[in-house]
Amino acid sequence: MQALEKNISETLDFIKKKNYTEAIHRLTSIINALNQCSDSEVIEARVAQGLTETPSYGSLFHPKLVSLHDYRHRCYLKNQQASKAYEDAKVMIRLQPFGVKGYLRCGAILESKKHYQKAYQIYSKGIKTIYEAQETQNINISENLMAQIMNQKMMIEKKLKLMEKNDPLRISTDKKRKNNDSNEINPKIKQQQTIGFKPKHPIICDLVSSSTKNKGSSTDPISHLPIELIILIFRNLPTAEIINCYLLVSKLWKRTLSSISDFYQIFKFTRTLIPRDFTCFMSFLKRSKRSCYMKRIQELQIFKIMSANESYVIRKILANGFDLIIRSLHLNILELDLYQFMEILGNHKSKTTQLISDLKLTISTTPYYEESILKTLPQLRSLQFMMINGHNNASDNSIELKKFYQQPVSEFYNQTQEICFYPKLKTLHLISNPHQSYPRFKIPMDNFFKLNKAANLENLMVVGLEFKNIIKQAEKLRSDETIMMRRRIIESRDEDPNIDTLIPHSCVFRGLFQFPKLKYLFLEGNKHLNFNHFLLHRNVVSNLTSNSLETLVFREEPIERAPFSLVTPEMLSYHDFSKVKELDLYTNKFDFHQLMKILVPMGTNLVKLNIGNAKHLRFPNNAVQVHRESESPNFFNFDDFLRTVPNIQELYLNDCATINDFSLKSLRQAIFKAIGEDLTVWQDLKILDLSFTHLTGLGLVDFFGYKFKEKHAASTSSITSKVQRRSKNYVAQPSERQPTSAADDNSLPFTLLKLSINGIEGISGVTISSLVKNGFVGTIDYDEMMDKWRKFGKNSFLIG
Amino acid sequence: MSEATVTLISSDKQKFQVSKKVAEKSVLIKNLISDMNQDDDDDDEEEMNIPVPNVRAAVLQKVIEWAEHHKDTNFPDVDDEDTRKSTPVDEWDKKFLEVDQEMLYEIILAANYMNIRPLLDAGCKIVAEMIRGKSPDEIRKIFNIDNDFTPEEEAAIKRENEWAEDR
Repeated sequence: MQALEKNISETLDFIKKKNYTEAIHRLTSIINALNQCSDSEVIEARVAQGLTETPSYGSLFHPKLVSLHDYRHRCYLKNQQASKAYEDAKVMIRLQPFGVKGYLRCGAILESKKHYQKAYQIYSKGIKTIYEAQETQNINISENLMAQIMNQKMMIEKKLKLMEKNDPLRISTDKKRKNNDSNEINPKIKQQQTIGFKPKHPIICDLVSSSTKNKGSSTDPISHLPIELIILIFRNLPTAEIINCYLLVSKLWKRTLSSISDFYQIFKFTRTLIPRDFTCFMSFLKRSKRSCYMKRIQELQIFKIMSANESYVIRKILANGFDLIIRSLHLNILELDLYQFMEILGNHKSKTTQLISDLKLTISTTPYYEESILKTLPQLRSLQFMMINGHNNASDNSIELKKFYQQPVSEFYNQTQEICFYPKLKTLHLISNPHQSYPRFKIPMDNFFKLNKAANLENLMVVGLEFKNIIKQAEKLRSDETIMMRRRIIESRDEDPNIDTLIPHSCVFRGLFQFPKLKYLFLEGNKHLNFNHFLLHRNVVSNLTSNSLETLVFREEPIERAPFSLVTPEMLSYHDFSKVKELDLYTNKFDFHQLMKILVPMGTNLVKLNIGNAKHLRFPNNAVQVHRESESPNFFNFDDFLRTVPNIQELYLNDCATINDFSLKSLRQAIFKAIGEDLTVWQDLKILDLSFTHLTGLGLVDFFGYKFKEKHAASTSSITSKVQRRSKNYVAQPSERQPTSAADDNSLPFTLLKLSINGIEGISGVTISSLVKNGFVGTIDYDEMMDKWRKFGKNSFLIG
Repeated sequence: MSEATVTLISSDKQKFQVSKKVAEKSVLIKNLISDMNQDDDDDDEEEMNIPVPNVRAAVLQKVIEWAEHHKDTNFPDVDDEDTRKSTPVDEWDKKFLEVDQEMLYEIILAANYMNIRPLLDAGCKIVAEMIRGKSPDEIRKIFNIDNDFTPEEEAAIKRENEWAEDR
């Protein structure tokens, strides 16, 4: 290693002394030596330079190689050996396709030889390749060099235009020569010919006019504008239109548009895909990406593949033969099961499979096999995995697998368990049909969860799984003793609180879903998992520093059981929820006291709250109840609530059976009480959901402090007859209320963007339109029958 | 001190005197001005001649007209492609760009060369709107393009691209 450094520095001395021949001689021998290095030596050298073991793209080569070629190229130039220098520059591009220098050197030599067209092509290709690489590979490029190459490109562009003015014939022959290889630069050259506005050369004038004279000259944008601008124009148009229609305009259009790979990034096949279509699609892609170094598409979604061809199509996607890179792949697979799919994946390790970063897969799952997706594709950043029923119709291939099903779990794991970690994984969604039976009450990827294998996981969604087994094991944790012990250790700030001695970790999740960087957690409809268990786990095994959670959705399975109560409520800590901004506890079983315990640490951070369908929250209902219950923990105290979460922007109270007009009145009173004490509460409230409650139009009108005018009242009917009666009280006030007038003490501190009152019977259109017209609410969602929505709650994943 | 002006010189050597503020709508010219100001610290700013060699007088005049109109418009400085794509073309710009197709292309080219992004985007969108939703035949008529496909070739392309239909 040091010998090499010494050798290089000696050689550089020769260059300084302008002894180029000797320098070339020495550089050549060093380059040859480095080219003969074994892979392991190269890796060693890379590591010594602080690089990763293998380059993220391209072949493995010694890290010094590029600069050595660069030195030699310079020496050749000084020695007037330009063609040899050019070879070196080309090697630089080959080794480092994403390095600016190679293109710059190549271009400079071509320019000096007056090969301007070629130089222009080299620069353009370099810029394009590097930009693409920046997008896909996160490569850092020196801005300086980048500016240099852009500048070079611009200069040469000007020079070309100038030349073409002085000597249009030359360019046109140049163009004809180039015309055969349908290179992407082609339209550019053509443009240079036509953009000169008035070709001076008489022959050209003749050519131009004779072909188009009788119809007036063509104003084809593709021949008038350079490719960069053509891209800007067509980017505004839908891809499907480009493929179906614009390619048919003319040969020039077809050649130009089909070669601009930027247009062909997102493909969604919503119909059943048949093999012929797929073959055409792949050859189209292959053609359109021909000139790109990175053959890449953003997204490929296949909704359904014709049943007999699933395996064929999947093989073709993965082993496409031209290293297509698919950023995001969405597949719905109906015939193959997970095992078979993984077999195909394992047998087709191509660049395509290794560079998928986002996989969305709907497939019948093969128990115990889920984690193999991550093992096979460790580069995945996002995995969305929908499990559908169907391993019972397993075909011949999975007879082997049936053995797995019957094997005791532990045995199976002993055979194959190697602990893998997935630091790249940011998003994981496991969606299952809650009614699907899964062997032995295991949950998919339980090992993954037990060991928290994804240190950087930010987004986790778990829907419809069965937690019975895990929870049963966790019952042991219920003892106060364990919790106390754990907390003592944390409080004494022991460096290594040995968790493993405290809990039988082999059977318990290490802190349920306690990934250190988790921001978004969505749990819905998981059997036997309730908030109680969730908290208990987090408390026993949490290291209290990981409170990054910003969104928590916890929708319990609607099991009609005894009301939820915390086992040792005083002891549990809620502080790892302190950064939560969005909380969704739809179908929760808390009483008010427990709800407040959860809300207090979030406090001012909380902006979105859903406590819909809360069976045990008792909102103020009538004066007698308030009098009787106001001290009980069950009673929903709006005063406390407002003060605890003053920055709420969205509040969902739908399907809270105890909300009625009186509740709203109490809320209104509480708001004005808080304002009276100079507190700022709910100023930013934008969305309020009161669907499926026992409100009336009158209650709403009162809540917003709106006073009906006589004219409105007279036109109302049925339920609003109440409004009529009330509104007479206000007749004394002649002018219509200005909702925005600050002097009006009646106005609430917020103006809603949206109010939902679905499923409430008999609210008149007049009430709704008046509230909107007078600026209390932006829009009102009102649909008396919205049963589906009621059943599952807003934004439920189970809907439909 | 009165408002600083600069003189732009078109490719056919015509001179246009415009206020610095208007000229600086072009990022190219803005950078040139700041480079020149750095070079000489003398305060003789009145003599600032900037050649715009790729743009002929008629086009440069149009570009200046646009810049004068948008003198006080604050264009959001977004690099986000999607936002740029989705913002509709300003009504005045639409009227302004109702010109011959050749002129439109020349304005687009000038906006590209002089680095005036809002004008470039508007121009590109106008051209895109000419094309949007049209059949190949209509497009050929609009731009006076010869159909150089044989019917067989046309059918073959259609067949090849059937997969992309109804998406």
